[in-house]
Amino acid sequence: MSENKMKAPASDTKEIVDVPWAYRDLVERVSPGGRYIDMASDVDSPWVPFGDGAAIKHLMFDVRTNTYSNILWMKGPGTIGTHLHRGTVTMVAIEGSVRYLEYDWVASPGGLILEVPGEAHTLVTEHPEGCKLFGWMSGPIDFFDAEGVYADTVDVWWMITHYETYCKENGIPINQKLYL
Amino acid sequence: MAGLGAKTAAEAGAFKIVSVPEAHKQIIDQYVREGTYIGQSEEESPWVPFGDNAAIRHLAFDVRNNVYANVLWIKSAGVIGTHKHRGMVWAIGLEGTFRYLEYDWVCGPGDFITEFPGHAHTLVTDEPDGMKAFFWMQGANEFYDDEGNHVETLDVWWFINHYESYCKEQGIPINRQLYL
Repeated sequence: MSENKMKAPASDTKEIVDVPWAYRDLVERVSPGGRYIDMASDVDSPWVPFGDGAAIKHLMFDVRTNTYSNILWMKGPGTIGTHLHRGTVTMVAIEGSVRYLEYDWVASPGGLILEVPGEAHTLVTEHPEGCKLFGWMSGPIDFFDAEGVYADTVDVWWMITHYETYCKENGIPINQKLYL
Repeated sequence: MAGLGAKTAAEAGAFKIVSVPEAHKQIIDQYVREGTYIGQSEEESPWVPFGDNAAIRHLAFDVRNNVYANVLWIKSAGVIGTHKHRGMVWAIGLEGTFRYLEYDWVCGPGDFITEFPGHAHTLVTDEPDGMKAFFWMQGANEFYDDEGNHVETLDVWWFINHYESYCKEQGIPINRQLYL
């Protein structure tokens, strides 16, 4: 009989166990620390308009790796124009439905979307209520106009500018928790 | 004409600082991480003993990504015991040569290697004058004794502790440049 080598999880005891860990003090001193951002409310981060029919709720900015996380909310049927990713994207559909003109699938709530560098595509929702998408993205995204002319590059700096400009205009304090 | 409206990156070689278009300059100025420079002096980063016949010169610690970079120096023919990587490794040989008992190549000055999660191997140098190599490592690195018993897991916290403990013992100021 083969030995079961899978030992995790090794406990279901509902208590904090003192784990042997030599560098607790160092972590305390040097680590930026994990954190919780309330995604469902506006307590931690407001909805910032993104064009006429969409908004972005910023969740995380990492300036060391050009990584950023947010929720994209398209408020009704609409399009986010063709864009080219130079990094990796992980998205989870939260509400409504969404697809890309380039692909044959439709993302529904709970569905996971993976995108990799070099892919250009056009985001569309035909759902009457639009869609909400949680995203974790790294690297720049190049946006093009309807004629294929390069228009803008979106990255962590763009996202911070988007967030802070709106906060300043609306007298909302900057939330340092969003900056990893 | 060269220098005016270069068509390719290779042609774009003006020997001057060019003002690059940047829509988010103010945000970048506020949040950008300065790059780091570590020269060769031991004041900037000392050789920290690693066993009797080796030393490590720490160059970078990235606690957000569990990344650490350093130069490994084995001073004469010797061994870094069998260890298993759970992250990725990039390395370039600087002086002397080293190899792994598990592989058939020998890494010399200027040679480049990669290692991947799941690789367990035993680093040796056959050179009377040993070796030096630059390593850029990510994730945990598990060390085993000669019977295959787990001894210790090294990661960014181990490396920071290795560096700081030695600095404290020797009265060397901590170099903030090492912390990304």
